[in-house]
Amino acid sequence: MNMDKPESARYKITEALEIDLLLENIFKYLKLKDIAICRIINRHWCSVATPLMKEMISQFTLNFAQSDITKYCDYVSTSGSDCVKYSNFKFYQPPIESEFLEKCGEHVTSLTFQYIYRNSLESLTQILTQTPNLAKFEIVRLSLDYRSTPTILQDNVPWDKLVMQIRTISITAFDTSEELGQEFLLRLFRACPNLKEAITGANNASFLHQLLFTERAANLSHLSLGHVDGQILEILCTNKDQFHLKFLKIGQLLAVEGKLLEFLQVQANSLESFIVCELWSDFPHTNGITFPERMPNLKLLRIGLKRWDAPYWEALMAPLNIPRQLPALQKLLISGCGKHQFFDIHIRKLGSGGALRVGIGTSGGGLLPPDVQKLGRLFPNLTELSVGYQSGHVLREIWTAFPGLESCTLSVGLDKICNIDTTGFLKLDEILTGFSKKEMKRAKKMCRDVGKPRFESITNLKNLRELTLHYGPFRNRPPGRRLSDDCVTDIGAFYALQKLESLKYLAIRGHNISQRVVDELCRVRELHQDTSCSHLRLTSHPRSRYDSPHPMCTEDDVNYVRT
Amino acid sequence: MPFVNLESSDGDLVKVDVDVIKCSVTINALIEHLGLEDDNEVVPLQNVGTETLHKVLAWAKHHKDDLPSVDDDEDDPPRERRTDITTWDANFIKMEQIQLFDLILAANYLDISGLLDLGCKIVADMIKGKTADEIRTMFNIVNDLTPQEQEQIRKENEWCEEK
Repeated sequence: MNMDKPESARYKITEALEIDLLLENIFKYLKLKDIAICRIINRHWCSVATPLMKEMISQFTLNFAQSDITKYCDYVSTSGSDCVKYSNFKFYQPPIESEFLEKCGEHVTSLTFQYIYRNSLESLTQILTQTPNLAKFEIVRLSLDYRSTPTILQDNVPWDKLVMQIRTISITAFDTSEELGQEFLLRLFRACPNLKEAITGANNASFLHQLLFTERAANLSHLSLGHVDGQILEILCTNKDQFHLKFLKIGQLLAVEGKLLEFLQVQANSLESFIVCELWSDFPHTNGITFPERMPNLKLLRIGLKRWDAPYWEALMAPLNIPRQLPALQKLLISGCGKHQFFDIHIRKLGSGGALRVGIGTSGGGLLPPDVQKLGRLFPNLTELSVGYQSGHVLREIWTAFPGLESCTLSVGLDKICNIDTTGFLKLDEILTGFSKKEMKRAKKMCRDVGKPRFESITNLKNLRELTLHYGPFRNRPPGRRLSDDCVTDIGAFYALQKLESLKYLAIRGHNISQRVVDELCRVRELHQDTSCSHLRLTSHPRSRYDSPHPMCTEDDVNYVRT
Repeated sequence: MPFVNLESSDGDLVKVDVDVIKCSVTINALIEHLGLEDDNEVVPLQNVGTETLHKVLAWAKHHKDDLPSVDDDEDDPPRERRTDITTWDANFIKMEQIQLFDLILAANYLDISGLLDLGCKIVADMIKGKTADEIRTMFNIVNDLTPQEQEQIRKENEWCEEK
């Protein structure tokens, strides 16, 4: 009997691990490196893990130095034809390596070069002629000078005969004379009849000119431009009828004028996402960004307002009637509202339906309570709010200004400057609970009945599902010294957070809550503590959606909205 | 409230609230197709022992009010699977390897995706960061690959292991 048990146990495990579906399910939680190891366990594991690995390496980029190339070629030539082949390659600059192209050219689907110099141009053209399945081509820095001219212009490079499958071209930086850049782009675009996505960081003028000249603009669905100034707007506006974009992303918008509106008007029917990461300057004598009368398919609108306070400023965004102008809008993100900045955004009559997710993010902080009140009137149905470092007075105002708030991210920093008015609130607990000093004294004893809060507490937010509290930068404090004022303690958790009826997610950094109160909070709100997390994190469901930071909270300037 | 009687492979009968076991696609289908309206009807589960069945039911009871798994977040990168496990689940799943695999097999047989995912996550955690030899020893797996095949796979893997 005793001998039987380990035997049957072993059998059970073997039986389980022989079921393809189970193995697949297990492998799905593994990273590429572990999947690779699973392939050498035995033949069966290999047969299940290999297709998964092949799928994963389609997202995986091999970062190649010159010495690796020979080694990789060796690998490909000594392995069988159905060996695992990699398809994404990143090189410092185009390698002079015909063997690589001969062996691997066929299965290359994405290529990234850190630099294209004059002397690497020839290798580049060689590579492009021998990678027939290339779909994505990226150059981080294109650096050509007059000595490149013969290479670009010489007829023996078969540019004119070249037809490629490339769908995405991305060139981040140009360090090239305009004429040369144009020659290069002209040939490149001409060879890519299926171009769908064009991304550029700077020197957009040449880029746009050549897109238009080669008649590639009409086919484009995605256009991403690093900077847009008056000159670019002029080009876009003059050729507005050639574009039919679904996705337009502008890194920094340096000018507005009426030309942007003219361009948007032509794109109004096709555009699904419009992103301006940052408004780079004020737009005096204009209404700011103005939107067409109707954009029936626009689902995502993201506007990053300027991130610093200008001494004077003008309108940034013209009045916008969302239900009428943007009936399909699902997500509106306005970030970077700083001090004195947003009150000319007269966004009126926001959709009252639940489908629209409206978010406001302010990074800089320094709002004043009347600002929040005004914001509350402008966005009565706001559901998402993310604010940077703010004073306690402002936070308190948020509980009443946005009663429909569902998701709230707060950075709290209470210091002497914010709380110079000692009759106001001093501690985060007081802000959360609305208790006066006297009530706080009683609350410290954790007796249940403390009486009515003096001000509205956070429990006013009946629909709040997600709450994230970060501690702020400790301005005017010696490094390393923290005050307990901006910690959530047992009092805040017990008298305020626990009473948030809709709470499904709570994350607090820099808290000071005892485990007893956390357990109680979990019990009352039916939440689960994520013990693997370094800060306090409670979720409602193991597979809940709250792992990645809110797009408004991510620091990445250019790429932070995925669509 | 309707109940259903489940019979474990050990022959024990367990009366279960239909609402609790509805997470099992297998039993749900049985109830629907066979129309088990009579409380005395018995569903035999030949592949699930009594101890495991009780474990499954404990899990099902705790998760009976769960929403269907949430995949609605358009901000999620599609490839990365969630790997967070709640405290309750983490405590629940603390068991011997043999019981864990019993549970996984039962979840697979009963088609309870939430429980199956939980079990698979735990096994994936056991695999993470281990060498091939360690994995084989852990699960008692015999390596039936020829040295040549192994060499070939090693070569293929070499390129992604550096990362």
